[in-house]
Amino acid sequence: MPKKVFKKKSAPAGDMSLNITAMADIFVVLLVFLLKSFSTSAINLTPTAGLTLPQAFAASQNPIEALKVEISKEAVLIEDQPVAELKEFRFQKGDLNQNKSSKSLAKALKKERKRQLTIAKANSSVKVDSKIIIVADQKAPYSTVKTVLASAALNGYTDFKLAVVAGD
Amino acid sequence: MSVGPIGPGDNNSQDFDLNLAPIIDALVVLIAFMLASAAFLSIGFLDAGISAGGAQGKSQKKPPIAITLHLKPNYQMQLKVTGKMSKNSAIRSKDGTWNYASLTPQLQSIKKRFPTVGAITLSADSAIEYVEVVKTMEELKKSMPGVLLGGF
Repeated sequence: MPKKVFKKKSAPAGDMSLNITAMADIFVVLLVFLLKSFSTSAINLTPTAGLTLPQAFAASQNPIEALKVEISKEAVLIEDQPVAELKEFRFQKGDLNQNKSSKSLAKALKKERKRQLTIAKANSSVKVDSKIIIVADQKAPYSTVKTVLASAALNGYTDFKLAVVAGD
Repeated sequence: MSVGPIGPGDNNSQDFDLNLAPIIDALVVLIAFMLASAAFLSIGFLDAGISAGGAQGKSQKKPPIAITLHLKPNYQMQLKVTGKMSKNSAIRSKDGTWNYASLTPQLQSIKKRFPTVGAITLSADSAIEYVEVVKTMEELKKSMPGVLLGGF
């Protein structure tokens, strides 16, 4: 009797096993990709909600570690702590000095500088530099930015790094 | 629970299946954590100095000319050169925006005449938005390596 070549296909079983090996491969590739794009900077530069950074194509993308000053619609923040109040991006009139700096901001920056100097004195490997990161909303008027820069410059921060959204 | 015989036999086979399920579990948790903490916004930095006070630069020589660009309302710019060369030109807006097409050749010709000049001071009227200052800074960097912020 000739052997049956074509067997009747059996009905698929209700329980099937998923090929986990291929899935593990996908997850490993995803994980490697995410780890590669993971920022290693000690400073969290994610702007606060509602703050839109301007875009620039010629920006350097090397991570910088420096004091972060943020200019939002309602306040100026140093390392995410509000130090000066703003009203529609503008400083209160009573907060401004004659040299166009802000009293409250200059005071907070002076405190930060003092803290940096104390650390540098205690630890010789720590150097005090003049770098400062400015994270400002794109709608902020130049007068406010100028006041922040003047307050920073008065306290020895003269190397400004303007945070922008880096274009492709 | 019964334990199979130790020694040669069917249970001593070298073929075994690695249990991938816990590995997948760990990977899923790791990926979820990384996705939650990843910053998808690519942040860059524009270098800017200050034209008043503080340390200005390492060079001891005073540059032969000082170039200043002032941004005015209605997209108008004022280019001023003082020192060995004197120039004061107003650059009007073009198509309702900054006329960089007119500014860049002027700066390039100045740079060609005075190659030692490496910085330009940028200032703006109080009402000018920060985004416009950044946009102009980026444009200036094409002709001048250093941009100093001024006006205070």
